[in-house]
Amino acid sequence: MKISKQAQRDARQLFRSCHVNGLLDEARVRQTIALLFAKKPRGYVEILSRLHRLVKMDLEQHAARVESALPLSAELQAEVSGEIKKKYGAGVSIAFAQNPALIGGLRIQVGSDLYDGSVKMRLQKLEESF
Amino acid sequence: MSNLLQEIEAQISGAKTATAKQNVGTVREIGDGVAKIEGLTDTMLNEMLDFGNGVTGLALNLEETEVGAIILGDYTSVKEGQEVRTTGKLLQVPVGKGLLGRVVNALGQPLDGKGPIKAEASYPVEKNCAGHHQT
Repeated sequence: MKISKQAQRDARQLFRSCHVNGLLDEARVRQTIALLFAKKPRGYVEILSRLHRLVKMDLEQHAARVESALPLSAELQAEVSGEIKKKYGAGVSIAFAQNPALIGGLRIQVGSDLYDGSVKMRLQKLEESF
Repeated sequence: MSNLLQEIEAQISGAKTATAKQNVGTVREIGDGVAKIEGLTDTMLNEMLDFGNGVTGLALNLEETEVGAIILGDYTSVKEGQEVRTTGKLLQVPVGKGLLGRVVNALGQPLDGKGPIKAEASYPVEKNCAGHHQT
């Protein structure tokens, strides 16, 4: 969908107004969407589409995914969660997953930051160095 | 010999695998050698991007929600959903006496079949030109 510059500006403004103390407030987002549907301003579908994208990106930036070859013990999960929350704030949602393709080690992705300490990545680097 | 073994053991015990932070994104759209990438929040303008399989891209459009990049290489191997990594290096090519008389592509890789270029250094492609007093 082609989104006009005006709709992009409006969506950005609404997105900013949905923040409380630097974090996206779910209640405000729901309220904003309800208001947009109720008032139906000019180009509201475009605004909603852009707002959806901005919210999606914000959620992705505050989501962490921890992958390991074998399931992690509860203590290790708590330790990793603690370290991630210490670095990225308490608002980060953390998901643990198992990925045998890593062979060993951990692969932690928070938003677009990636900490890849897996054996697979190290083997790839070794392969590239030849 | 036992000293050598002890040294190796000491080095192994002291070895720590440092994990560097990388910035990654996902290809959202690809066509005609131009890719739109989501993520890559720390990309610099004119930065080289690693698409994997030896394919390099160049970040040219830094937008609010995505990064537009041109692919310098075989773009048919790049697929939607593929992971892209930043390299931390602006577009740079090998320079030096070894480059004289050679035919290279945009990444400074040889196209003339005369083997690899023996470069002493790499310089950014976009660079401020020297002032009058320096020429």
